[in-house]
Amino acid sequence: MFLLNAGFTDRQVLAGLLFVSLGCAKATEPTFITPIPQHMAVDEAKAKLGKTLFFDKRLSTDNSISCATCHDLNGAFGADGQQFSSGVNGLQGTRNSPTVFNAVFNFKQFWDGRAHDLVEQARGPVTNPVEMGMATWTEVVRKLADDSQYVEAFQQIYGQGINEDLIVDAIAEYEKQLITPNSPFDQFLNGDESAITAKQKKGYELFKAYGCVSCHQGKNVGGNMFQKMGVLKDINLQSGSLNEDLGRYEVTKNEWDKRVFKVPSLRLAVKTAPYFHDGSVKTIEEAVDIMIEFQLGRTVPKDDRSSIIAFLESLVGEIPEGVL
Amino acid sequence: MKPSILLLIYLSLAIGGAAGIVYYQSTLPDTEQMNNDVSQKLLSIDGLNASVGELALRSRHHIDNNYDNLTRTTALLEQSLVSLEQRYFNPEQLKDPMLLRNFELLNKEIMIQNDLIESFKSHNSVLRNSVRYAPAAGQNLMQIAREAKLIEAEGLYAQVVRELLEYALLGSSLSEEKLKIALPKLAEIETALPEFAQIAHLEFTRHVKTVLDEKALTDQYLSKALLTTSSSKIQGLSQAWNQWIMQQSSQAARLDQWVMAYIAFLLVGLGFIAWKLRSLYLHLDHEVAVQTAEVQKAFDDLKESESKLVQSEKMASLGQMVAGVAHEINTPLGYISSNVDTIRLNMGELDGILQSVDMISQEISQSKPNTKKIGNIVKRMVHVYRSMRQRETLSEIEDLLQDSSYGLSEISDLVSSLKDFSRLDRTSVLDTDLHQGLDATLKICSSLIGQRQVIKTYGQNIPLIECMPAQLNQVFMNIITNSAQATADDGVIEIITRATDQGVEIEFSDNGSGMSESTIKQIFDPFFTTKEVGEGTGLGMSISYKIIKSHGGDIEVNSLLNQGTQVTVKLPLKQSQASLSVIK
Ligand code: HEC
Ligand code: HEC
Repeated sequence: MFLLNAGFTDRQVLAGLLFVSLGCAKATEPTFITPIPQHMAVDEAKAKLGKTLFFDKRLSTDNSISCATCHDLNGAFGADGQQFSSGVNGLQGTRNSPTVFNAVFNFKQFWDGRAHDLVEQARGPVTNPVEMGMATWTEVVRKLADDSQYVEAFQQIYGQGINEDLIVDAIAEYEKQLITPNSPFDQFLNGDESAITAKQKKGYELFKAYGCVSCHQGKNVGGNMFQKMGVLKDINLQSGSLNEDLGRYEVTKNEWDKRVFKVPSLRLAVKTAPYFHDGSVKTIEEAVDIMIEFQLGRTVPKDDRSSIIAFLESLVGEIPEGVL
Repeated sequence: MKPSILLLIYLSLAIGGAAGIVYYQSTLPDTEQMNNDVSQKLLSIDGLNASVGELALRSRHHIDNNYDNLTRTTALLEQSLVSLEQRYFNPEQLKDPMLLRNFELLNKEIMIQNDLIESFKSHNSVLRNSVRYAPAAGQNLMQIAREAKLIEAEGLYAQVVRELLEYALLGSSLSEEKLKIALPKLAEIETALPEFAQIAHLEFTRHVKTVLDEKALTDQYLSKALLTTSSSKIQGLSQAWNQWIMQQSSQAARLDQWVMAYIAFLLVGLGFIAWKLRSLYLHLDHEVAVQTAEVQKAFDDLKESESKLVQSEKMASLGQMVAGVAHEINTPLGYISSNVDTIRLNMGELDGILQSVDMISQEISQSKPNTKKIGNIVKRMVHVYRSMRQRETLSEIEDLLQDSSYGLSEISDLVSSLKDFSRLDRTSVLDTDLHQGLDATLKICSSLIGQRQVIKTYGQNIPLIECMPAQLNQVFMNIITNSAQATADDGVIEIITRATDQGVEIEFSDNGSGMSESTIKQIFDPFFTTKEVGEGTGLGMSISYKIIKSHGGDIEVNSLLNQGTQVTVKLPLKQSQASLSVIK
């Protein structure tokens, strides 16, 4: 208004406002994405015990499934490459299994954020009938108590007998170690300009410019907010199945939470196809296209898309030694 | 009431009181530490809460370009509340409904606030994208419109972009109105656009709509979040907490009073017990003194009566002895005196002869002795003499004198035995010939023994024994007396002595009435007697036992009822130092 009253032309005002809007962003190099730490401080003994538990198939009713079955740490970067993981008796859930790597940096766990943290999350799968299928935790405890090594380890580390709280605590402690530091992009953020290629750098600029960073941001390039799937274009218009799952609505029953999901971390996105909550999208290209269409509501040149994907590749870090 | 019952009551009261206080204290929280902890946590919650607002504003104004800080802070806030709830504000620990309600209110408020923040974050991100993209898209469309000579459309795009920026950046509600009016116009111009630009137009329109919607929502959520009363809820909880703490500390103060009262009670009780104990002890002391005196007196009495008894036993045996001795002396004394009487009678005649002799000597001494007279005197004298000889008076006198002299020697024997026996008061330990003692005793007892046959089988070479002879004689007399009393008038008493390795053995046996086994068992008990009342003190054997034991010897009794009794006394040759002192 004061700009108008001062007799500026529309163009001038526009330029001024644009300057303000962009200039603010330019003034300091904004920290949209930050590197993840090299190490997470953990209780080594608990983490070691947690690791054993993570790989222990006795946590499932028919001794066929461990956490690692669906969260394959060796070949599949903490996910399993399937649309839906198979639990006990080949049963399947309705959601794609996310990677457990860097899950510690997520502000909530699960696609719909129904678990506050790793400890709360770890209580879930064991008694989930389509995952590990144990009837009760009491039964789990009884099974583990048959193993004198467990009994001894729990006694030694926690000073008490095996129980649910201790089991999930140990697993969560182990999961804290499952991070992927030192990605080329983190190195770039830490000042090593040559750590990423020009294309990746361009991809990063586009990632910011197109606004992916509005949702995929912070140290985990995601995992710090909820977003509706299809904020700029109704997801019902998507040809696939992405509109079927009501996401966070199932947890809160708030109308506005329909099809709201936790924005996933993209740090290992290129390694953990298929994509989205129901794993219905097979390639990263398609996934990015869907993002551009439904979350950004705009059209993006193919070239830019591949640059963005190149950038996503620069987010893949190293699995710390001694964790697996 | 008995002191022990009092003590019991007191102790149970003391323990009960302590238990009660401990229990009461256990129900009281450690307020100080708790207060510190809770106050600190509430302070940090307050701080975190303020940070949430600040960080949300920073995000809203793009000072922060990611939500990591904001997210971490809301998570911390939630965690703080959870830990506060787990540690303090759960109904199991905290019984104060007021506090619990205050906490619940805060908890709910924070939850609401965090939900609002989450919504804000989501919408803020979308808004931001559209605010960034829409002007660029609008400029692009302006370009197209200009090239397509669509002046009106170009103007509209420019206006919408301007209003949009003004609305988004400055929040002008006038711009909002204008945008809302412009939106339908945008739809109108769509058809006029070249086909290739239609998608861009739709996108632009969508972003403009998005800005309109999202800005409203973003600001709405943010202001709602900022306007939540969580801060005042924190204050409310703080106040309630302080009140509760004050209440608790007054409760603690009350506990202190109770503890003081309890300690006072304990002290009073202790004092009472001390006093009770003291009087008890005093009483006890007195009691003990009385008892001791009584015991002492009883003991003295006993001592006295014992020595009296011993004395009377001594007297009894002395009496017995004297009786025996008297009898023994009486017999010779009797016939000696009758002898003397007889002799005195006969002395009259001798006196006549002696008078005649005197008259003869007178006559002879005269100048003219009367021979006739002398002859008469002599005649009478011879007559007397002859009658005396005829009556054997002289030999009778001779016999009587001899008899008397025997009687006297008998008496002198007895006296010397008596001396032997009753070296009673001589208290020296001597090397003694036991046979002498036995003989003296037998002699003294001879009246008691009477017609009984005494067979003495004294051993050869019996050594002298170191002892108090008077004491041993007393033992012998005792045994012999018993034997004599137990046997018939014509009974047999046998005394055997023999030398043994250790010393000397003296065996007294009789063929008297003997004793039953139970009598044997009690024979050495003081005051045990089978005799008639008055006949014995019942101390004889017990004293004998004492005497022999004190001599380091032994006394054994074997007896068969109606067969006889055998008493064996064993004595050592020499006395040990210890028994020497005992004997004396
Ligand atoms: C049968 C396959 C299966 C097994 C077994 C399984 N998970 Fe998962 N996991 C999943 C799926 C599917 C999800 C996503 C579910 C959702 O979001 O509703 C998931 C989600 C998670 C997440 C959340 C990650 C995030 O970013 O939100 C973690 C962490 C995790 N699992 C850990 C574990 C642990 C620990 C175990 C063993 C106790 C385990 N899982 C066992 C399939 C499995
Ligand atoms: C408005 C917020 C938003 C924006 C902007 C956004 N995304 Fe997403 N992204 C999401 C959400 C929400 C999901 C999860 C949706 C689901 O699974 O249903 C997601 C999922 C993804 C996934 C799949 C991850 C996986 O592991 O399944 C990829 C890849 C991705 N986004 C990339 C991008 C790229 C590239 C951009 C920019 C071009 C972008 N996103 C922009 C919110 C956003």
